[in-house]
Amino acid sequence: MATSINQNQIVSDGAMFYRDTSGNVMCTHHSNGAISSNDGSGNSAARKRPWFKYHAATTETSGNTSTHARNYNSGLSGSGQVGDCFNVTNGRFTAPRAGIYLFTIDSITNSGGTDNRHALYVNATYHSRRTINVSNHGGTHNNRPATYICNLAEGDWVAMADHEGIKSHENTWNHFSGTYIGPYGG
Amino acid sequence: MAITLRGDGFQYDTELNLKVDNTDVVENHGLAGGSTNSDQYCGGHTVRSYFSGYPNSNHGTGNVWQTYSTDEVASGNSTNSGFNAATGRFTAPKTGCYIFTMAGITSSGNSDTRFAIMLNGNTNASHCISDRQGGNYSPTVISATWYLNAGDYTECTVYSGGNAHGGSWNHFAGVQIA
Repeated sequence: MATSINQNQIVSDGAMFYRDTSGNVMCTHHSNGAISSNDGSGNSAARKRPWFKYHAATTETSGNTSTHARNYNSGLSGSGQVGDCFNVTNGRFTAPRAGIYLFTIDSITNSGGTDNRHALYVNATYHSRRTINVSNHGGTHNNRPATYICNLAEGDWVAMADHEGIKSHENTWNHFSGTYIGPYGG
Repeated sequence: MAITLRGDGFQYDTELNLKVDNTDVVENHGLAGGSTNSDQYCGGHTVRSYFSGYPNSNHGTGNVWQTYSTDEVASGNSTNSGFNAATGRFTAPKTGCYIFTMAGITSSGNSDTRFAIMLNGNTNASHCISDRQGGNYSPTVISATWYLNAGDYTECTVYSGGNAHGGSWNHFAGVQIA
């Protein structure tokens, strides 16, 4: 096996390894084009890559687009985050880097006989990121999951909200999750 | 700091940076392992194919959603996304793995209102039925991950049993992830 530098190219006749001084493999460029990032035990090296998933203990219907679901700090099953991106108290995800993000939210209606209008706010706007849980089957437990793919600037905030009608059910009957896909190539 | 060129790759004591133009770090290899694009936030690839918007026309039965607005907050349509906002058709610019999501609510449903993200014109590829209530505002969401060949195309429609509501109550978005 041989690795060489040829002007602006690094050339290998097989897999190309990156090692620490002890010889442990930190990363591999495989001959099929794949790059595997690991620390020798298979753990991801992108340790600050934003990821979060939580359940809101407080939901509220409000026409004020700065008001949204909050108090995600109850530690319900599977909750957590990477990259210090989500404020569990005020309920806002703040993009630590510009780029494309994937979010999923879900909710069910809680009580009453009116529709629930549910949205994903970005910087207090929800245009085309909203939908309705209809109440025609009775006032409770009508469902509506949603997936949104957003192009965010660094510092943009994102939150799950009820902007009209009855509010969503609290705790494990809703969730809000997201992760970073990659920088936007334009 | 030292980097050694070995027979099968590189060995280094603190970090190894790949640079372009002699100065710009485009990839970093640290002792913690892995490869990151200049910092540990950027585990992902640069997204060249991304679009997100809502249709302004063709919400009726059997029509492909068209004339999208893609300029809302957190939306967009990248230069080489493959998405034609006028016709509503996404054509995969490259072979690879894509995530798509669409959502809509019904208008004038008459029982089941059937939404789809069509793949190469086929509604069976990914379709869903909004609540069996008739009338208005029943929600439907479809999310799909597809491995597409360059030239494969996707588009949104309500193909049976009612219409989609107008305006920004619907959306269609996609991104290449690998």
